[in-house]
Amino acid sequence: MPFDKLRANGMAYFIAGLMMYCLLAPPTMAAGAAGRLPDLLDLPAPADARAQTGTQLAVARAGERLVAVGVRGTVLLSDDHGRSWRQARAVPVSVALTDVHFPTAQEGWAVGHSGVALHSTDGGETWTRVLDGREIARIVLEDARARVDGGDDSTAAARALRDAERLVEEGPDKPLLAVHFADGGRGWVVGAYGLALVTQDGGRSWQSLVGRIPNPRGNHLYRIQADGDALLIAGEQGVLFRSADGGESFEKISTPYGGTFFGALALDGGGLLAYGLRGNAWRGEEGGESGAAWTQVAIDLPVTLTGAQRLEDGSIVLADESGRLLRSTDGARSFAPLPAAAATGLSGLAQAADGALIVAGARGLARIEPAHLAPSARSAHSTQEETR
Amino acid sequence: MNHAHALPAGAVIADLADFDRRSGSLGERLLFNNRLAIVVLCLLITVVLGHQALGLRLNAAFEKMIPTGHPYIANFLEHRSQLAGMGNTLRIAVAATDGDIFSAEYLDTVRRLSDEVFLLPGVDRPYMKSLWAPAVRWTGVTEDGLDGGPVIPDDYDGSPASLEQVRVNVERSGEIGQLVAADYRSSIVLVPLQERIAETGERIDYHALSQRVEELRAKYESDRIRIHVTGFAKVVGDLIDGLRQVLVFFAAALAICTGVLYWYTRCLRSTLLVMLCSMIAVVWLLGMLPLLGYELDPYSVLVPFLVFAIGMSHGAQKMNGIMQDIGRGTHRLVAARYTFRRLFLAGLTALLADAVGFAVLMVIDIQVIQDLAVTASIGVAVLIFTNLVLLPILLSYTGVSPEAAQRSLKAELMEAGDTAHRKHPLWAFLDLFTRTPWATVAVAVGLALGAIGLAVSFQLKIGDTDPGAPELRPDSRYNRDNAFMVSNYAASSDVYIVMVKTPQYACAHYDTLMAVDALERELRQLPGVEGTSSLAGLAKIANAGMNEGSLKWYEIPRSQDMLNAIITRAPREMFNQNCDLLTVYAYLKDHKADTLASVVATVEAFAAQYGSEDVRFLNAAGNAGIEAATNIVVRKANVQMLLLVYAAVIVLAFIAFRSWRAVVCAVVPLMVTSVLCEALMVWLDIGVKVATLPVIALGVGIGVDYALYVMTVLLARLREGMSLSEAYYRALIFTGKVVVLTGITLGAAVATWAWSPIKFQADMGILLAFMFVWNMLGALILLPALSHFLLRPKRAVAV
Repeated sequence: MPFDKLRANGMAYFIAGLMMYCLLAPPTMAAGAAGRLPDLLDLPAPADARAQTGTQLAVARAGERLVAVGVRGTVLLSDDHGRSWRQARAVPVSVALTDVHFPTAQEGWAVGHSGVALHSTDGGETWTRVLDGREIARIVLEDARARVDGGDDSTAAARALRDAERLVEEGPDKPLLAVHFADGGRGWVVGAYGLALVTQDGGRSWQSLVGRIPNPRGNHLYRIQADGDALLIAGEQGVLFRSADGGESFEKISTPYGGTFFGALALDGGGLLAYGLRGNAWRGEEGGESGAAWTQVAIDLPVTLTGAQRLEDGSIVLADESGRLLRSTDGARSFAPLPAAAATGLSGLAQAADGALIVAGARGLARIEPAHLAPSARSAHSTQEETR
Repeated sequence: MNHAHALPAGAVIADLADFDRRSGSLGERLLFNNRLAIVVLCLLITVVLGHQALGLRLNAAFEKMIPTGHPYIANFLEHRSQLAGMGNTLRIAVAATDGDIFSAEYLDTVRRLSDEVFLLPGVDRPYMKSLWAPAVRWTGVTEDGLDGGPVIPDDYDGSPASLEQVRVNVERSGEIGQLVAADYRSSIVLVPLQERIAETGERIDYHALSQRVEELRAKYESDRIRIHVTGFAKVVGDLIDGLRQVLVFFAAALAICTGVLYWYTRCLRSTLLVMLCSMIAVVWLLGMLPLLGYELDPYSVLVPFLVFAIGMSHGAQKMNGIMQDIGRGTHRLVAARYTFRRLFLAGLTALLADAVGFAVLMVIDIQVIQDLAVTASIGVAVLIFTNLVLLPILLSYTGVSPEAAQRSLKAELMEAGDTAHRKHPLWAFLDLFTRTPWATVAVAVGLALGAIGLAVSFQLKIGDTDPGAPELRPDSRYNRDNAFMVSNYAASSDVYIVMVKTPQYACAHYDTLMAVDALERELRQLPGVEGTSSLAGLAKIANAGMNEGSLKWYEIPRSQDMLNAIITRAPREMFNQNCDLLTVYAYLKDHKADTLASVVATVEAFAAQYGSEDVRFLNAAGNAGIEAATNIVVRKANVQMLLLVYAAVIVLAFIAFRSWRAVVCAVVPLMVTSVLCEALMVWLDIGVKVATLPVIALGVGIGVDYALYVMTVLLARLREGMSLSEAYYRALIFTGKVVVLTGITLGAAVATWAWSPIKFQADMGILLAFMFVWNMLGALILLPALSHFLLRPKRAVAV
């Protein structure tokens, strides 16, 4: 009989012969040594009974499997195309993880706050830390100092060194926001205040890209992804960068919009779709010397676009932060809302191997059935051409 | 043999001249030789206290219903002034029945209503919130940064364009589910209350406030507007309204008692005298309460009723004794004195047992129960004067009607005259229990019932089991309003608050927020917790907000500058002015004891592990936190109280009987009843709570009366040398039949409470009725059966 119940029952207690008048003091605090909570960088992600409905920030495919990452170091895995999820066995940190990418079914990387990058070689079951904010600051400082020591006496180099020194001072307070790996060895991570690093050996060593991206104002970099053989980075204040040489150097693509782009997507026939704040979606055609010719894509509501996903049939789905999904079947010239909507606070998208769309956001993960991805007939929008 | 207790007849003295006025104890002589003075004195006291009673107030203060001495509550009370708008908040939902809230008419109604509410006394005005409150704002992200303003724009003019603006503002205000229902068909006026009115310093009058709210409801409700009100103040207001109906029960009980008593005696004047004396006791009690600074609350309002019922029980004993003596031909004054001699000690012991039983409730650190204990103890003490002293004196003047006396005598002659053959069938049946095999059967059945009851009672729950306000019935208006709130708004009606104390200006330190976030995570693991919120969660949202609303920034920023920037915008519900106190809210699925206990245990464990001088985690505020503390106190008090009440009853019974064996015979039946009462609570799904805690103490206190009256006579007869059967039979026809009478009468009378609109009064009524009736059965069946085994005289020898 549980002691609790015994205590709950006065009469039973009494009759049971415990005639001693005993003062049952309120539960006293255990006199154990009060411990400090370890830093989130050193605190393994705890098992969370409600991880599935907690905030998830990104989701990616690892072969047939789906891997989602989110707050408090949560990594969730699904082997049934997003119908059910379980927590990864071992994640060494408890910071919020912002992005995940698996170039192969086994090898994957995730990034997050405090400058963390994690590596998994078993399809996301277990993870090891390969980078953190303290390490990043050291690498960036070394790089900047090398530039100055190497004879670069430009003001830009001097400023980069000052910035790098401040980065070290401020500690690991800047998040990495996106990760992309070309294969099991070569990969790039980007983040807040223009942080960008590259690895050639699967994350064992990293080099700073800060000096190689023309981002003097240190705008946040929200997304990095492949554009054919090239790399594409999207960020704050309408910045887009492209590297055609595998990340050795980046060029800035001029855009007509000054607000944040949360991502950019390479389109099938060449060209780009950049999307961001307040319903801004822009379609860029390969142009001449000036880079690209931009057209604004009509989006009916001024709600921030947070994610885009090219589906296997070639159509493109855009997600906005209110949870609305829009689809284009004409190469991003026009978008029509899908009847299916996800919960508000949408952050990441991926297509499952069975064709369903998996969305990650403030309310956790949701699976949208392939049948619900067809646009509703009535609300097709014509493209509103507005060339700048 | 003590002469003062000499029974059964004394000498039959028909003429007062033959009576020795100097006989009897000092007390008896003092009282009965100054009868007129006593009567006049009582009359004066009644007039004075009756006047005082008119000043008695009905109220129920929040603080009186909670265990203020418990460390959790002490934490709450210490910090309550810094905890904005919690614990005692009125929520007024204004619902549009036709269309949504974005209409000029609707918004105008809300404005006029909140303007009126703003002026109500006791409203903590700076923290009041509604769509129209300037503090209710929207924020939005633009390319240039954050933008924001009041939800209802300064240039609002009711035009369709500005209504559309309101809609957009509401959507980005973050108030959906808080101030505005998700279906946009209702919004809330949130009214935090102060325990004391700021302007006057007086305690808030919940009944008046509730009535004002009802007036507002009547004024603004129409076929297009419905109003739903929840909050502690409304519960109390409805309770006090419900108390009006208690008067109806009082009247019903009065009628039942009078009717039964008259049916039994067929003597109008003595019936009325018994009622009169019991009423006088109630008047004295009600008069003494304001003198002593007490008010009646929804709990103690039942006390006058109990006092009346107990008084009736004792009064009937006195009257019965006097009637029997007068029937035998004794002069009425002598009869009164004889009865006083015979029964005063038993009556005094019984009343003292009652008083002590009630006084034991003082150990419970909840003021309403302590008030109830004091009130009931005073009431019972008053009965010593009115029903043990004044009533025999009055009866010594009036006597009883001759027919009734003759009737009583005839009954007695018939019963006592030929004990072997012509017993009244009921008494004959009860007498069987003094012998084998009936005694064995009764003891076996009694013990079996006790064992079964004990087994069932292990499932006894602590705390409330129903959703909403458990004080009121599930289908009451209040609980329907509450259901509306719960289904339309995200905030649960069961909020548990953990206070986090830090050094000054350290409330937003990164380490503090990390610890708070870790606590929230632990709490969210509990199945009973639906959600949590705190400055830590807000910091994450704000961090995302300051980064153009990107969810990727949903993390507590490490930069202290960023955190400082965040708290300048944070709402005051999250932290205090000095920035040394954070509040962590846990929204619970229900307020069942297990749910609350799981939260308490989690917070305690977390505090033990991670608490430090700089970050102290303190339980508990919020209605659920207070209830958790109350449960802890109630759980502990239930044990203490039973131990004490039984200890008191045992000591008093021993003083009265001077025999341990007799004590066992008297107390074991009470214990069986107590166990069965707990089993009944399990069966009826009634938890141990503030309202039901006193029931067993009251039941035992009153139940012991029966045993005392029966056992006193039984022992006296046994000591005279009668056999157990004979002695018990004598006890039955002398005091036992009044025990039957009062047990049934009291049981029937309290059972009328079952129709009370106040749920806990109904619960108390059912349980008390059960206790009264079962204690009576115990005293009449189990008591003689146990006596058969424990008190059998070795040999019937005349003394």
